[in-house]
This record gives sequence, C-alpha cells and structure tokens, in this order.
Amino acid sequence: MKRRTWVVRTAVLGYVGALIALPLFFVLQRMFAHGFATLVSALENHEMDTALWLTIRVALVAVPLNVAFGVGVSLWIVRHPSVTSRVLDTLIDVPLAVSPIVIGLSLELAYAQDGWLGRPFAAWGLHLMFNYWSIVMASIYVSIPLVSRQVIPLLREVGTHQEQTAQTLGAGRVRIFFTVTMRSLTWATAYGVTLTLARVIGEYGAVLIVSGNIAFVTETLTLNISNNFENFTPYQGFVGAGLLAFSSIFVLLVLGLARHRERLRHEYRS
Amino acid sequence: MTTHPPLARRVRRHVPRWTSGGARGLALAYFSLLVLIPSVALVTHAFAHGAGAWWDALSQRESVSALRLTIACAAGAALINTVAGTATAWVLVRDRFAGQSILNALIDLPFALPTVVAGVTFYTLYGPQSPLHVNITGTWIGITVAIAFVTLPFNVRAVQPVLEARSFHAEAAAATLGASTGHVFRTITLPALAPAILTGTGLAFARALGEYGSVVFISNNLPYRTQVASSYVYSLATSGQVDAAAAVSTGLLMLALVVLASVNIVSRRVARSQ
Amino acid sequence: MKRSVPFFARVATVVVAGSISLLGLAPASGASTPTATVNVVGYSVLKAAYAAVETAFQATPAGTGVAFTNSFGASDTQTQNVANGQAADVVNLSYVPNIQTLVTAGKVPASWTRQEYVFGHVDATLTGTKAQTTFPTPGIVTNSVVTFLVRQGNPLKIKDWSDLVKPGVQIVTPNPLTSGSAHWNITAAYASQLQIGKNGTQARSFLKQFLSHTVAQPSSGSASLAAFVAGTGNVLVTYEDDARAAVNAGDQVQIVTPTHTFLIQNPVALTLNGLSKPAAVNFYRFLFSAAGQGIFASLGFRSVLNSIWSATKSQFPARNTASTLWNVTNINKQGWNFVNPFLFSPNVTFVKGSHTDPLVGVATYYEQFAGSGS
Repeated sequence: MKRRTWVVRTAVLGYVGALIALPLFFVLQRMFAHGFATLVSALENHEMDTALWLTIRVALVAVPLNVAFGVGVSLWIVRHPSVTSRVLDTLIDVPLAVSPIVIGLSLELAYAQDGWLGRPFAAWGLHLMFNYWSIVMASIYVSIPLVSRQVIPLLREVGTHQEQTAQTLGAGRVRIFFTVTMRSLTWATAYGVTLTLARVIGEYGAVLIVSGNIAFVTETLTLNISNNFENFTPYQGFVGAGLLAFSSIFVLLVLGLARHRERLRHEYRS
Repeated sequence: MTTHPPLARRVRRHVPRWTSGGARGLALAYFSLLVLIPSVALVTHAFAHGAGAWWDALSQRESVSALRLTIACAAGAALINTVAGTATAWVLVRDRFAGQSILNALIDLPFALPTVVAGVTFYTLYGPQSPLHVNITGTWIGITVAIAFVTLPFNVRAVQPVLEARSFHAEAAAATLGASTGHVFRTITLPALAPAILTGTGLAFARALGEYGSVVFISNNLPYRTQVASSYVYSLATSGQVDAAAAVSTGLLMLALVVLASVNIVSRRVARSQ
Repeated sequence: MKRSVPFFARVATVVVAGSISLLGLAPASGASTPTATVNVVGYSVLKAAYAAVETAFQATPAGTGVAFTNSFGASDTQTQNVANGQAADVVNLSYVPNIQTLVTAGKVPASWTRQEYVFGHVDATLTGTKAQTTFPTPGIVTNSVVTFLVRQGNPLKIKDWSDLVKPGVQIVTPNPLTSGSAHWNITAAYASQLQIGKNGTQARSFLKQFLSHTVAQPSSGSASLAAFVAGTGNVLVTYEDDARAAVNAGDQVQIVTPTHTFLIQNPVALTLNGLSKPAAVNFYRFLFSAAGQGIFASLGFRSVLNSIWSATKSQFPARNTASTLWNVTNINKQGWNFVNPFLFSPNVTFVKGSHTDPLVGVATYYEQFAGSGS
C-alpha cells in the first residue's frame, strides 16, 4: 500500500509540476534572465506603465461594482426566491460558459455606433466602445458570476437564524447586514473578490475586440504583453507577464488564506 | 394545526426584506445592460438572415474544422484531467507530505494567471526556441496541453470538497471484510465521487470550448488545420463578417450550455442512485 | 467582545474606499495638456515608423503641442473598428479597399484621393518629366514590394515564388481574413504566375500549393514577423519595409526579393473628423512632405515622392519601375475592384440563393487541400 501511495503522489506532483509549476517558473526566469539593470529599465517603460495603470483603473471600478452586485443578488436569490430571481440564478452563471471572444463580440454588437444601445447612447453623446468604458464593461461581463457563486451556497448553508436573532434584539437592516451577515460571508466574499480581481486584470480576448488597442489609451497590460511579442520586444513582454505572474502568486496566497479561514469557520460552526 | 396559516402570516411580516425593490431593480438593470442585452444582440445578429443562413455559417468547412478540432482537444484534455484531477484531489486530501499546501495553492494558478501570459509562455517554452528542445506549436498536442493547463483546477476543485467531506467508513468496513484496495476504490469510492467528477469534467469541457488567449499562440492559427473555434470567431468578427461570427458563437455557446445541462442532469441522477 | 465601530469611522471608510474607486475614472496621463490630439489608426507594421514621424512632426512649428493617440493592428480589423466608431483622424491602412470600406461606412469622404493634392500639395496625376510621384496613384503615402524573409545564409536557396512550393519549405504568412499584408502576399503569389506566362487556372493551382505550405497564419503582418523571428517556419512573406526592420534589428534573418515581385501601395486618408482638425490636416501634409517621406525612406519604405525616391533608391533592390514591377492593375484593369472579390470573397454569403459563388475565393482554396487536416 505504501508504494501505491508513493506512486500516485509522485505522478501527481510530476504532472502538476510539469503542467503548472514549470510555466510559472519559466516566466519568472525569463523576467530576470538579462540581469537586474535591464529589468529595472524595462519596468520603467512608459507604455507598459501606462498599460499597468489602465488595468488598475479598470479594476478599481469593475471589481467593487461586481462585488456589490454579487452580494446583493445572492441575498435576493437565496432569501427571496421568486420567478425573477430563479431566472437570474440560472442566467448569472452563463458568462462562465461563454468564450471571451464571444463576450467581446456581443458587447461590440450592442454598443458600437450603430448597435442597439450604441445608437441611442451616441445620440446623447455617450460613446461606450473602443475606450475605457468598453474595457470596464467587458471586465464586468466576464467576472460577474464569480462572487455570487461563492456567496450563494454559503448563504443557503448559513440560514437566517443569526439575523433573526439580531433583529429580535432590535438591530436595523443595514446593521444586521454589516455586522451579522457579512461576518459569516467574509472569507467566501474575499475568495470571490480575489477571483474577480484576477479575472479582471487578466482579461485578454474580450478586451482585444472592444478596446481598439490604442496605445497609451486603451492598451491594458495583457494587450501590452501581446503587443510586445508582436513588435520585436519579447523581453518587455516577459517583464509584463512576470508582473502578472507575481500578482497571480499574490492572488493564490489570498485564495489559500480565504479557503483556510473558511474551513475554520465551517469547523467551528459544526 | 389550524393556527399555522395565521402564525405563518405573522412570522412573514416580521422577516426583514434583505433587498429593497429599488436595489433589485438596479441589479436587474445592471445585469441587463451588461450581459442580457449584448447576448440578445448576439443571438439576433446570428439569426439576422434566418435559420438557414445561421446553419450555413456553422456548416462552412472552415467552421466545421475549427469546431471539430476544438471539441476533440477539449474532450481529450478533459479526459486526461478527469484522471489527473481526481488523483490530485486524492493526494491533497488523503495524503500527507511536506509542501502539500504549496500544491494546493498551485492548483488555482490557472484561475489566477492571465490567459495571454500562459499562451505566450507555452509558445516560448514548448515552441521553436524551447529550452527543452520540444516543439509542439501548430499541433493538436500543443492545443491540448494548453487546454489541460487551463482546466485542471475545475476537475480538482470539483472532487476535493467531496473527498474532504467523506468519512471513509464504508471503505474501512470493506477492507476489514477482505476487499483489496483496488476493489474498494473501484466499487465504493469511485461511484460516490462520480457526480463530482462528472461535474468537474463538464465544467472543464465547457470552459475549454471557448478558450482563446492560452491556445491561440501555440496553435499557429492555421485555418482547417490548427485553428480553434474562438480564433475562427475572432477572425470573422474582426473582418466585418459579424453575422457569421455571431452564428458560430451561438453554436459554440449552445454546445457549452447543452454539455453543462446534461452533466448537471446526469450527475444528479447518479447521486440519487447512490 | 469588540466594541462596535463608531459611526464616523464607518463613514470615513466608505468615503475613502469610494475615492480610491473613483481614481479609476481619473484621466490616464498627467502630461501637460496638448493643444490638439490627432488620432492615428494604422495597419500593424507602422508602429515604429509613426513613432519617428510623429516625433519629427512635433518638432515643427505646426506640430508643437500636438498629441497623438496611436492604434495599430491587422488592417482589416482596424478598418472594421473605425467603421464601428473608433476615434480616428488619420487612417493609414494597408490597401485601398480598406479606405473604400470606410467611405461606404461614412467615415472617410469619397473625395479622399484628392486630399493628397489639396492638403499634401502633391499632384500624383502628373506623369512624364513633370511627375512628382513614383506612380500615378493618388492617396498613396508609401510604396513597398512583397518580399521573402529567410534564415541567415538562405539555406533553402529561395529565389522566387516557385521555390516556395518545394518540399520542406514552411511558409509563414498572415491570415487573409484580418490582415492587409496577407492580401498583398496572396495577390503577389497569384500575379507571379501570370508574370511567368501561366494562365488563371494554373495560377490558382499554384495558390493552392502555396497555401498548403503555410505552417502559421497569425492575424497580422507584424504578428507573422514575430512568429517567424521566434523560429516558426523557414520563409516569411511580408512587406519589404517590415523585412528590413527585422534585419536592422539584428535578427538572424536575410532578405530575398523574389524575381517576380509585386508593388505594394499603402493608402492614407483624413477622416471626416480629421478634416475638421487643423492639427490633423497639418500632420497629413507632413506625411507627404520631404521631411516625412525622408523618415519613411530611412525606415525601409519606398517613398512616393520622386525627389526622395531618387535620393534613396540605391538602398533598395532593383525591379522598381512601373514597367518592370507588377501592380494590381496588371492583373486586371479595374485593379482592386476586380482582384479583391476575385481572390478574397468569403464563401459565406448571406444573400438568399447566392450561396455558391462562382468565383473561386481564397477560402475555397483551403477547402480543397484541407482533407486530412486538423
């Protein structure tokens, strides 16, 4: 029996190591391959820094909006089931099954100048395609289910017992939400927020279609990486990729922490 | 028993409304503007010239070739990861060794890492200038490896919680009755895990159908040979043939939804038969 | 038990969080406010050229304080984006049908070919001794030729198009659905056969062979070059200027100008938006000035101005006069109006009853060899 365990363990470690760890290691190795000085000057590249700032700016708007939506819609679906909320429950998960290219295409069809929504918006002077807003919209679309997928099962499991107790003690609705409901939801929400952030920072296919790839204006960090690979500057691309790899490692740490704390909360309750 | 309806009515009045009507309207507007209406626009453009033209676009040789390649590679990767994902979940739950938490964290990397980073890295790592002297660019193998990378977490994270929650009493009992570990695994553990494994595979497959960023670089994008469906849609969409692009997109989307729905049904049926 | 957080601390947290979020809406760069912004949209290989041209323009009095936004990518994609509303003042695309698409979409005036004379002060219609331009085609800002790029030393001894279909040759060329460069490559491949005396059917069968030898079809010209330099394939078909840029960048590659090559002419136009911006009009003028053309020439483009061309033509391989270099009108007098649908019509037509197109398009070439693929 011991040998079988050892065989399975080695096989799994080999597979995950080759498939997942090796590429990660390779990105970081390429980033540092030309020495520290080259790395620093590459990090100061104006186009990449502008792209990084654009990606952050998109996340600053898209992530809180999706978190607010995700938590709110989860409350609605779990606590007040109705026909509308059941339909919403099914539809929310659809972006997970849709290719990012298709998402970009859908948004372009709706919001380009002669699109369904694009035309009336353009009449009011609102242009929502090939600029910052189209990137925000694409980021929201691709990550919309990520928070509610974590929160809904938790809300179902936790039940309303604690909130009802708080209510009988005289707490108002807002206070109950922030002090009681969110308490049990903290780490599940943190997990969802982190996944949302990772998804928004890393979106490529949809942004490729809706952004117009305008250098220094709508060039996100992911676009910047692929532009660098297409324009004779692969090392610059690897530096950008390395930055995103580092942020992914950070995301992994937060996810691990969230999972650990969630398990503690679960064990404590049961 | 006759007091129940009045009591229920009284209790219902005191249950707080967790979401106000205004908030719900806002959520609906948000979702409609950003997801629903664009999706409806997509479907409308797909069928803009009727169902005949929609089918025409889907049955073009180039479209069929792209869809066939994508489905084959996605299925291949999903099957490999079904075995690998279950084994990984097993090792994470039932084994104990140094560095296990690192393995656990690493599994989420494909969720966290941007697809373009994975794509560009795979191209460099397994391409013409590979330090490992392998070149799988422009082959279905390269596409399958990229898809396997992206979908492994789905398989692992579907099985892992079920394994964690499982108390292995039945297995222990079978062992005391003389069953071999292989027999125990095949007849007791695996059927119990089957719904979760199925769900993971279905999610992985549906995700793989639409994958773009990590696949497009290593595939070399050759029409009729190594062009995946998402890349075909991209070239249609960005060359003015938006209706054809929408048509193929809806076909792809329908396939993904059918797979997800059937996996849902089958895994529930399997779970019920336990 | 923790004391509950005081109310004002809660409010402060929300305000701070909200402000951080609102940072997302802040404008991108903190540079000094420009007097005008010109939006340039171009095809993929122009990035370095426009960086140089724009910097030079900003040093002139007309260009002081003018800021630029630049978007470069596969030519057909860029055309579609502008047609769908992407902001553009100056569009420099790969081949004339792209501009015609924008005219149909209402973004570029139908009189765009006259802009070279009206704003650029260059009369392209003059011929003979008075000719100001190398070819009498108005609206063209740069010329080039279709070129092969091979590995250093030309190990496969490639000299002309017929060498491309020998066994073992792996061609890299962009995807014709999205890339302007691909249109030039495939048209040149077709024309090369006509040049050596083959007829249309034989030329089409050569195209089939050509396409069957491709090992990669990235979405744009610059993506193809990147793939080739990274090691894919052993011959790249591309613009001469892009090939020269690769050689100048020190990559281990070598230019081979095929014996029967083809003239590339890249059009530029002011959009309706750009016409109303003096800065854009001035920039357009600069593109056709001696200074601007000189910069293009220094970066591997063949200038359209006779004055600059005669000064720089020694840097370019021969086969460069109208009599020896084939262009689109040599295939058919109607030029792109005939060639584009002839060679590139997509085989999906959404018009009832006309699904089977009698003209053989590029897509159907793929079908005929795709039998055992994927």
